[in-house]
Amino acid sequence: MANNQALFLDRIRIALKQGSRPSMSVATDDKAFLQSIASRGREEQLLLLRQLMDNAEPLHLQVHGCASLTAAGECVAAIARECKPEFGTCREIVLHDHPLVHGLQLAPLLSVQGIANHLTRSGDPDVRQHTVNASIGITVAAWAIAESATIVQLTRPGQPRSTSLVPSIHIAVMLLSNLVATLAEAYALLRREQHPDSLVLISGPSKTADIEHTMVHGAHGPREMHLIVLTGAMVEGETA
Amino acid sequence: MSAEEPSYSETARDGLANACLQRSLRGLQDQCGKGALAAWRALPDPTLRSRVKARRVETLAHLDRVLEQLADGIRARGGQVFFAATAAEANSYVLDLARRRGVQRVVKGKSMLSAEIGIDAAFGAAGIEVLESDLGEFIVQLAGSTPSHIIAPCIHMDRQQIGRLFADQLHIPYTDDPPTLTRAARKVLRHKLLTADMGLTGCNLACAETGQITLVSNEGNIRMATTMPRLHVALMGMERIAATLEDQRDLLQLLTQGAALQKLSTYVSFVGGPSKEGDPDGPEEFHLVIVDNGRSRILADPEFREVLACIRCGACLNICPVYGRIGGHAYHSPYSGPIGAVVTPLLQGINRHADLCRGETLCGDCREVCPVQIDLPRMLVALRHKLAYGDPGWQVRPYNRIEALGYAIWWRIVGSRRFYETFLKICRTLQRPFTGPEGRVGRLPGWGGGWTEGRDLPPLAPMFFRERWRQMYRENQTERGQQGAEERHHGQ
Amino acid sequence: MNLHTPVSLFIQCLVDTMYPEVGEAMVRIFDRLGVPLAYPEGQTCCGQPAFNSGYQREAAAAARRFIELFESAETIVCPSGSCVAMVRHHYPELFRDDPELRARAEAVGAKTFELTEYLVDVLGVTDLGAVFPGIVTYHESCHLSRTLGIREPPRHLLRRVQELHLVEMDNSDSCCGFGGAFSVNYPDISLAMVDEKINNILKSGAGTVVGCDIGCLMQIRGRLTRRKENIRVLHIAQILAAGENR
Repeated sequence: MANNQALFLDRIRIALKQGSRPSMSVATDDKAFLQSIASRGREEQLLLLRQLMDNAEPLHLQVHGCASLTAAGECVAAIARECKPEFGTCREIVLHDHPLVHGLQLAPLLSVQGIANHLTRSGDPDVRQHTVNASIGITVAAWAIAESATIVQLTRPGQPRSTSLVPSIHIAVMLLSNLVATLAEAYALLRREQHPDSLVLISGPSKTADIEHTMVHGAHGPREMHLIVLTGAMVEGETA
Repeated sequence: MSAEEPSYSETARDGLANACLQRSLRGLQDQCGKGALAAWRALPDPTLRSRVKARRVETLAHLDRVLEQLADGIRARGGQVFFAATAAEANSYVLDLARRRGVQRVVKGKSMLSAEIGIDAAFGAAGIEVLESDLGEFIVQLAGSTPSHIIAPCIHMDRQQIGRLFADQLHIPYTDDPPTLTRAARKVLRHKLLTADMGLTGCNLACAETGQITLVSNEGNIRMATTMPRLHVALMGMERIAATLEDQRDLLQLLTQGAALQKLSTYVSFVGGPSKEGDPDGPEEFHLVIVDNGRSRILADPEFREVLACIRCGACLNICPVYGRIGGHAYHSPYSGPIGAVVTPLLQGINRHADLCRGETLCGDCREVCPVQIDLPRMLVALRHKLAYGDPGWQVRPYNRIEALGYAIWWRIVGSRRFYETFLKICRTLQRPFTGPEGRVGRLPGWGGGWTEGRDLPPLAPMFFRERWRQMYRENQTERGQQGAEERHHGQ
Repeated sequence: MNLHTPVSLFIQCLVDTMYPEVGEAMVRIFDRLGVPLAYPEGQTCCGQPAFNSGYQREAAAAARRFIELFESAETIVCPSGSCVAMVRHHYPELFRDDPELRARAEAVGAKTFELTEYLVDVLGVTDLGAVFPGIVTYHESCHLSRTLGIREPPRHLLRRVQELHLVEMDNSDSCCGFGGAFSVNYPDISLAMVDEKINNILKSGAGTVVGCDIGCLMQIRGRLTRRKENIRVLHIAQILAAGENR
């Protein structure tokens, strides 16, 4: 294996005919971006939220601003109420094992509707099957990007990839303070985060226009997506 | 071109006659091609593309180092990296892995490299089921055909054809409604995606700094293929790498804009290694197969190195007037359109694909729309140069000795005023039998018939410009020259 | 450079042998402006056909001859975007390994202009006193618009022609399918492209199509007559030279 690599890279070095080379220049603008993020006040954050909502509309990403955890919980319950299972008959929801999700206190709201819910706890062998059966997957977004209506979904223990992918509907929840303006800002945060192994940027439900260039929402990923942004000033304290 | 394969011109004719293809291409080009040009004109930073091009070229000049950095990073995350010099080595590695791990079903995310190395045939020979998961590729696979566009594979088929195909092969009641057809495919593919043993994807952009690859999609099939099966194999052309996160960001945004006028595609996945203990999903093993297969030879040639800057966005297909008439099948390659016309001969043989080198008008639209400003027309002329005289370095034989002789004679004629005029005066006499009653040439023999098949030609003029100049203007010109000299003398 | 600078006419092969009236029109335009003219009689071809087909030895020989013929001129004007692009952009490429010839090529390229470029950008003239009644649409040739970046000067000139109504066609700058040898080697594709161009011309409602490159006009006119469509095809020089002298 190592031999393969050495031969391969040698072939490239021969092709480049390089003697000594200066290293590639590496310029980062992270400091400036992190400063912009840190200095943003609540009013500016709300403006970003407005921008996010505008950009989300053509992508069929439904954005809900909720002032409190209770309101957010009710929002989720309302979506669950409307949802008809796509594959099979059972109504089930999988949720990320994350303090913000716990803060929504969804269990009583969902059981009232007869909907089973299952946390995606790390090490739980049933998570995969529950995810495949579920109509709704609820995750927590680390950040969202206003300019492109994108959420940044990091993979962590208890917060697996498939929750935002396999169920028909994806609901992402996040705090307003985690909303940034641009992809560049999000990358600055990612770098500070020391880049996890696996993450995905998501900008709406899945779609395809492969048949006669006609746009259809709902290809292999979720056919419907919601982003709940917790805007209440108190929320940060509650979920800390 | 092998003897059995129809030629560029023959397949082009089929494309020209395909009404559905013509409609689709027109719509695609009007929207996406022109849209990309408009997007570049509206960029807040007009230097972005040239800076990114320069950075791509710089990265290629350090390709060995960045690939090494990438491999170290992937391995640090628990992934495995294999460097494949050839298509055979790549196929061998993947098949070997599949056999060792008892793989019976493979789901593919869209990968042109996988078509380039012919991995489907290798899987087939080993009795392993291979399924395309991208809707367009899935449709093309069901139809037993090949893609006609690198981003929109089945634009050569209309909804009725797809409806009939699904009714036949998926046993659903006939419909030509795209949402219904899409839902049917979604249902069929979901089960396969959830139960496949191996996901096989390409790689849009690797990032050396973070030790990861990035994959973009709108459908979610690539996420499925990298998340649900227990093995994930990613095939990567060795040039598809960004050195830093900033480079990756710039290229990513140019890619999604150039491909489909999107700020970002619906999904951008960063993948670096296998899943962790306790994860219910994600692959147990992640293998990155980095492929050369002729790219180092392109890298070594300063005339062609810049073609490796390509990020496979498809914008050049969406603007090219030739591709826009004939579609992708005529290129007989996973890489069609202007980029395909340069890269296919370089990877698979310049003589074999001589028509790809010569079958364009050099109009320059591709250069204008390319997000990284690759000068494709320059390279097409360079390829034609190799075909003209042959080239031992690239193993090119002269393409057409009669044509070469023709141009040698052409130089003899234009190299001398006297020969030029004599030759043309002879032609002027000889053209009389070909000149019709309206004074136009309607039919030419031999090679010239290519023109007169569909067009008239003006005859050679009874007096050439130089003859008229001599007759009417030489005296006047002397006068004018004197006048001009007087005016200058009087300080006007 | 100004109106008194003598202009050496570079009359490309297609105009010289098939459309001399375009060359004559260009002479009338310069006469009207009082520009002194010269015509190096040894000129034959700039070498573009050989270059585009990959025959760079022959193209370089033709280029060297052109440079020798024209380098003593003060300024060179040609009624063709593609020939000017050849001289300005490709001559230096042909001589990249020969610094002396390359320098001479660059010097010649710096004083070689396409007709509309010379009139508008160099002389600052847009009104030539031309008169041409009719609805006219403009076909933008590839080398003129994309390689040389000349898009507005022809339009400025056409708008100042009296009684001329300029209409834009869809995709005015899309390739007409000529491409030199391409038009004969790949006739089906070439015809599909020119048919598309003609459909756009017809859709524009114009009775005349004008352009700055005779290769394109030859392609368009050749197909129009075969399709028996009654659209006039003119080089811009012919329109600018039309009407009464002032």
